[in-house]
Amino acid sequence: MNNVSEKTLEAGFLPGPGDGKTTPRPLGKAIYIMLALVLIVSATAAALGVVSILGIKNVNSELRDMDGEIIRVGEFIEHATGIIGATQDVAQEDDVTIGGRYVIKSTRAISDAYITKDTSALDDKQKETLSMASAILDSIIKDGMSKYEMALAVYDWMCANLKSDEGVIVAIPTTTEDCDNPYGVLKYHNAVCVGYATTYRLFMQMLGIECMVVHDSWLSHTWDLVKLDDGKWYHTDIYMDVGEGNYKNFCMNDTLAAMGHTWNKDFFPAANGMEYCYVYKNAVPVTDIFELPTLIKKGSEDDVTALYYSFSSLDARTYQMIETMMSLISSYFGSYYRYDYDGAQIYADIYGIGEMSDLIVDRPVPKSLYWDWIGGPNGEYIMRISITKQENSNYYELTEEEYRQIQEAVTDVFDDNQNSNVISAEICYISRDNAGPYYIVMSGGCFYIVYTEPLGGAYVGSIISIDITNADYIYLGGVEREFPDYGFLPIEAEIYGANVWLEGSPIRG
Amino acid sequence: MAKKLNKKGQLIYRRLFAFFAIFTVYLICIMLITSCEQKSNDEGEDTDIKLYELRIAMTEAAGNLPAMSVVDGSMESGEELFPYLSDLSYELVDDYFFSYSSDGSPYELAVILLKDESNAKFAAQSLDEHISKRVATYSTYKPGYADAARKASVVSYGRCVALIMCDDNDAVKEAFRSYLEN
Repeated sequence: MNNVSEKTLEAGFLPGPGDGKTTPRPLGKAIYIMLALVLIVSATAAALGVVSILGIKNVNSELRDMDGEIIRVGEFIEHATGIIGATQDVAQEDDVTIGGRYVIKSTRAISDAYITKDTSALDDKQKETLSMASAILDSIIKDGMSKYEMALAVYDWMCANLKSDEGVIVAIPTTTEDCDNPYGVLKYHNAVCVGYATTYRLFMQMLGIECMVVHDSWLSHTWDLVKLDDGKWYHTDIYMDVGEGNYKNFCMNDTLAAMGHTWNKDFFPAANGMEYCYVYKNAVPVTDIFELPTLIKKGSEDDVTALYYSFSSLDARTYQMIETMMSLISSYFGSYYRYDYDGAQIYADIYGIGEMSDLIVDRPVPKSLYWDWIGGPNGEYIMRISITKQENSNYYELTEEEYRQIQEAVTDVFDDNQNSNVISAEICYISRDNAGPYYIVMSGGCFYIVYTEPLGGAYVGSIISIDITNADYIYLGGVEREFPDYGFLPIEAEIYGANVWLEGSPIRG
Repeated sequence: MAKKLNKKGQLIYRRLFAFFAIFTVYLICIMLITSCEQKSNDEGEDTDIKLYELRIAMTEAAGNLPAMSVVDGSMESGEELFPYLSDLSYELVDDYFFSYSSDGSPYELAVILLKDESNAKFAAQSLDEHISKRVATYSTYKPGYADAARKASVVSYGRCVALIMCDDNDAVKEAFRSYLEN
């Protein structure tokens, strides 16, 4: 009895009514441990279940934005995007940040130092800027120049000697240091618009010409306003003309500048001058619209990049004729070639880029031609033509087959009835009884025919078909050839004795 | 009951009492932790967002992209460069990445991971303003790019707000959504 009790007491339990047997100590501990583990696991599981059942949530799970609108968690939201219409404009000239990065800074200290010959107030950078600017002015400014002539001389120098820093359009700009102030512009010849504008202003102020740097309403671009000899202000945007120097953005009044710029007109002075608007001063009067192809071709060959032609009056029909002519002319700039069917020589279009002997190696840089219309100061109509080089364009020469496919695809769709739109036999039907030659200049279904004799007329329109089966002979590239057995003719084919059905309007009879 | 026990029994009783007391505290802690995790699991598909993976997914979905430069919150200059993407206070930002065309062409992919998704609307507005500025820049310097920039999209999912400017915005939106939903 005592042994049993002792053992029981050792186990920590009172002796019970049992048979006196007690649980051995190690087994008791194991039971305790197992029981503890079971309880822990059960509790954890229960906790998860309790939370799930009761739906216990963070009190902040229902989110609201500043306006109290509930934002549903996990929701995919597509936000409407749109251009923010409100202007960010500021009514000041200097200390304006453009493009979030470039700051318009005054250079008055430098220009004053140039005028007073006192550089004591300048730091080293400013002195170097003054030195560079002075050297340039000494080389391009002559005694007796008017303000306009000085403004033009500086414009010419900057367009010819500086280049645009294209890093400005990168999302995180990679522009070079000091590209936005005259120091960097004159030293490294690399600038963003702020650099051009502040440098031009520096030059003008050194020459005693009033000049302001204008920023656009989006704070993304800058140019200059210059006060010239007539006491009126004129816009000049050198950045837009740099590299080409075509004067397209030189000396513009508000009307011309507004075609490509927006600015705070309440703050900046009005530019309503006419006398020194470059376009008005240099527009060539045109009385015969058929002179245009020759004028434009010569301009292109002389590498002129901007041409201006004025028309004293323009009725709707004449305007349409000019537009049709310009469309045809523009198609000759860089896109189309005609081929020698022997394949040995390839010739460029007559209004385009000259003659080539090797398509791959000697291919000249193609050009693009664009034009628009503006009103002149005396009610005339001025056509502005830009001819630009496509230096790095992806340019693909059309093969003969590609050109033929294009021609057929277009005519199949648009030439529904080849004989239904003949205007009149007298005008549109050129019978083989007529002596040649005449030149057919053709592109994309439009043609321009110049007769040398005997009709002496010209037509603009669409060639419906050219029946050359009975042609005496044709010339291609100045060399007599047997006429080919396919349906279309290349450009500048001289045709003798062919029957031509045309659709279109005569320009002149 | 303790009085009825001998010393040994009392010791065992105390040990059991202590055990259950500790166990009870443990139970309470477990319930608290579980409820927090439950909240996170209910609301946070974003508990494991890896912006690097999201950028890869979006970039692959975009298809042909030009050479791209990338800045993100892990960079030393990350905070300094963030304003080129958004004028949102950086204090509200947990992380971000901004992938943009190195040659200035209109290709940009960006995601802002906010600390609090209640700021998603404001982040979206800032990205919309970014688009407006890009359009203005292109209109001045590269007009041919302006239209592409106008078509950019801004989308959000939870704490993530994305700017998408590429040839196939829809594909990138789907990749963005799929990654965050999974």
